[in-house]
Order: sequence, then C-alpha cells, then structure tokens
Amino acid sequence: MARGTTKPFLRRRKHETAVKNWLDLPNDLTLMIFSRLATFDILTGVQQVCRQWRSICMDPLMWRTINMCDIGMYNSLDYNVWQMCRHAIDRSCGQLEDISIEYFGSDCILKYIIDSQCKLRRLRLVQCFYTIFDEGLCEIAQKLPLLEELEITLCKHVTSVALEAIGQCCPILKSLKFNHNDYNIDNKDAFAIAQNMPNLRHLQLVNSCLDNDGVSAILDGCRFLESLDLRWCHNVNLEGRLRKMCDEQLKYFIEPNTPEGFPGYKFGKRCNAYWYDDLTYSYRSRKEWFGDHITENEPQDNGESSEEDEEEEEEVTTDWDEIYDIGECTKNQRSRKVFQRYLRDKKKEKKKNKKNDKSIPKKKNKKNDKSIPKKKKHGRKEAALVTTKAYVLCFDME
Amino acid sequence: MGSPVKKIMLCSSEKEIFSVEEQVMVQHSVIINNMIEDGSYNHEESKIPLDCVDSKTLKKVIDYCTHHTHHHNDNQEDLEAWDAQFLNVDSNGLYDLLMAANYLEIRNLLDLIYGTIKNMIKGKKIDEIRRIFNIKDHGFTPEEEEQNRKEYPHFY
Repeated sequence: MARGTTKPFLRRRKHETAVKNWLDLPNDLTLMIFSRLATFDILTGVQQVCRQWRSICMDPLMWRTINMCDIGMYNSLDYNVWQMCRHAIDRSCGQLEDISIEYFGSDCILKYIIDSQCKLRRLRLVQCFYTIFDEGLCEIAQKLPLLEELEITLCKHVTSVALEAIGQCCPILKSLKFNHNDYNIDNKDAFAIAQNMPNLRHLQLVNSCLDNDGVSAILDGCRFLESLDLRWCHNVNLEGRLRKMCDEQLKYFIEPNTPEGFPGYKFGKRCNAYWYDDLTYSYRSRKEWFGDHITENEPQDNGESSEEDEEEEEEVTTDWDEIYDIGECTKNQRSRKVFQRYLRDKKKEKKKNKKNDKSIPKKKNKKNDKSIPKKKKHGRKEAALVTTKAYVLCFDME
Repeated sequence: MGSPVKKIMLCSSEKEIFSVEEQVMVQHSVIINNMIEDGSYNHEESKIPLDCVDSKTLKKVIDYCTHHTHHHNDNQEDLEAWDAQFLNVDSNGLYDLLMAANYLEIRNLLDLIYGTIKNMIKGKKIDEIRRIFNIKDHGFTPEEEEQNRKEYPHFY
C-alpha cells in the first residue's frame, strides 16, 4: 500500500521539476519577446493565451513598436485591421516610437497616430497604394520633429511635395527609403531631397526616375550621405566625374544595374520580408526589366520555408485583385496598365501551378488552417468590394 | 601561443568549475566585464559563482561565447547556421539558456533567443502556444475564455 501511494507522487514531483513554467519568466523578458511579434499576432494570439500574458500585453511599453505588416495575408473580411491598429495605438499611451503600416495605411491613420501624442522616431508606410497623399504627410510632418527613419514604398500618390515638407519639419531625419512611388519622369524627388534633407545618412531610391543631374544634386545637397541605393533607376548612367564623386563620398553604394541576387536586396527590417520583398517585388521587377525568361527560377525564391509561404502566395493573389479595383478608382492609366499586366501574368502562373501540383495545396489547406478555404468561398468580388468600401469609408472619416 | 592566456573560473549551481578564457567572457558578458574592470575578481583565488545556472546550460553558454569570439570573422551565413544548430534544444533548454543569458547579460545571445522564441509563437494557434509553453492554467474565467473563442475563432 505504502509503495503504491508514494510512487505516483514521486513521479509527479519529478515531472513538475523537469518541465519549466514559462509563466515564471520575469515579465520584462516576456515583454521583450512579445515586442518582437507583429501586432496582429499579439492581438489575436498571445494575449488570449493566459491572464498573465494579457496583462503584459496591456503595458504601454509593449507598444513602443507597432508592426502592422504581413496584414495582406489576413482576410480583411474577418478582421478589421484598421480598428486593430487604432487599438494598438490607444494602448501605447503616447509611448509609440516605431510604427510600420503595410497595405492599409491612409491619411486618417496617420492623423490618428499623431493625435496619440507620440514621439515617433521611425515610420514605415509600405504598399499603401492609393490611400496616402501628400496632404496627409505634410500635415503630420509638422508634428514629427524627432523622426529619424522614414520609409515610403509603393505609395503612388506621394510626391516631392511631401518630401519637401518632411525635409523641412524633420531636421534629424537620417534614413530615407523612397521606393517605387510616383512615375513622373523628372528629378523633382531628387531635388526635394537634396535641398531639404541635409543630414541624411542613408538613402534608398529603388526604381525612381531620377537621372544623373538628380544624383549629383543629392551628392551635393546631402554631404553626410554614407549609403545610396539606386537599384532599377534606369535613367542614371554613372560615368566619369559622377562615378568618381560616388566612389569618394559614399561608403556603400548599390548601382542601378545591380543584379537581384545582391546581398543587400532585402528592404528595411525584415518584418514584411516574404510578402513584399521576395514575391511581389522581385516578381514585378523581373517582369518589367528582365522579361519573362527568368520565371523558371521563381520556385527557388519561394521555397524558403515551404508550407506557410505557399499559403501566403494564395492570399497575395486576392490582394492584388483588390488593389487593382482600388487602382481603377483612381483612373491612373499608367499604373493601371502595370497592374493589368501583373494580374494577367499572375493568373497564368496560377494556372500553371495548379496543373503542376494539384494534390499538394489541397492537403496543406486542410492541415494548416480551416479558415482559409472558408475565406475563399466568399469570393474575390466580395473581398474587393469590402476593401473598396473600406477605402471609401476612410475618405468619409476625413 | 607565446603568452599564457588569462583564464577565469566560473562555478555552476552544481559547484562544477569551468575554466574559460577571460577575453571570451569579458567580450560577451556585461556582468563579467564589470567584475573584471572594477577589480572584484581575483585571478589567483576567486571563482565566479553562478548559482542559478546549471552545468549543462553554463557549458552551452561558454560554447556560444567561445565560438563567437573565435569565429566572428566568419561569413554571416555560417554563423547563422551555427546559431540555429546551437539553439536546436527543447523549450526547457531554451528557458534555462534565456535565464542564464539574462543573468550574465549576454546581449547577442539574448537577441538570438528572443528571436527563436518569437518564431515559436508566430503564426501559431492559441492552443498550440499553450502546449508549447506548457501553460495549463490560463487564469481566465470560463466566460472570458468562451468570449475569446467567439471573438477569434480561427486562432484556437
């Protein structure tokens, strides 16, 4: 009898000491781990795990960094990302220093950020195609005196006007990434940077339309410039004096005709690495600049971490459809053509993929996430409709 | 080879003593660096007691510091591969390493572990996270739990 009672007791004790209780971890360590997660993961996952974690997630210090990237892969029908972002900003209680918004950024969100009395140091706006305007940026620029890093990528309505305002209002701006924005063929952006941002250390202008005059203006205007990235700036032709100036002044220079495999290929911090950098970006640029012959290499890029990635790819296609719809609203002929071409290519590719591996994606969907097939039932049209509605709503709110 | 390498003694919670090159620990651990600098460590006699770090974990920590001191010129990919291999441990091991790195204030290692744990959480369902981190008692009332499940049905 005695044996029978002690044995399981001992066994249980042994088990308890062997397995660590993660809730015993000091709160500040847990906070450090959580603050690296995307905001979406925190709001939908981590804070529902247990009460202790939830209270950590309520700490304003946790929200110094808000990372609303990778949002595109979550269906906008199920989750209101705009509301999530607002909620996260509310929780920061003015502690916000670093915010990244991908895909759903708009002028009214920018205004909301500023109204939270934050002291922003870093702002990233990526793929907010037609929802961010010069007016919005000019307005918030006045309230960002501490801004050090700014990235504006794939926001089609942001022009040199906003750059001028930012340059004048943000005296300590050190890093600017201004990629794939408007397609005006002139040096306006370059001149705006050269005249208004004398303290710039790092500048990235991928796929801009500046030419040699623009480059020399930047080199003259930004005397402290250390790194310059001019990939796919095909109007720049560096020879002679300009070449020499670049070599002398810059520590780190990426030339216009740098091949894609270049190590510095990824933009910014990798918060949206897969969705934007690898897939959309390389795909489009390849199509546009190198022709179709590279498509064979495609799977190599995507095959990095198998299952999840393929899911994302599926979602990306629907997103592009939505974006296209928004694109139509703006009636910008040039970009519409680009999107149409992209969509056509994408559809072709999708067909190919379906033929190639019919069985695999089905299995994966079942295994990974029940919600995904559900989402697809809603259909693209509806998804697009909702996004367009959201878009219109944003304007109404202004 | 010529001049003898300065060594320091580290003592684990099991009272096992590890002898490590001073340079290795000074470079990585803020705490040990401070101890050496302010002269509170006597090379002849003292050993540094690390009561909350067990031998297995301490050995791993020393491995990490040694590798990163001697191979810091290696290319980034090799180092990352080594790090990934190094952190290929179960969640208990990770917990111990995290506590040790925090105690000794080894910033690079801390960053590495934070990143690894982040990846363990990222994109996971809530139930899965509870299992991975062995959280049995979530502390929510049944009503709250039900409410949460209603609100985010796809994440359980």
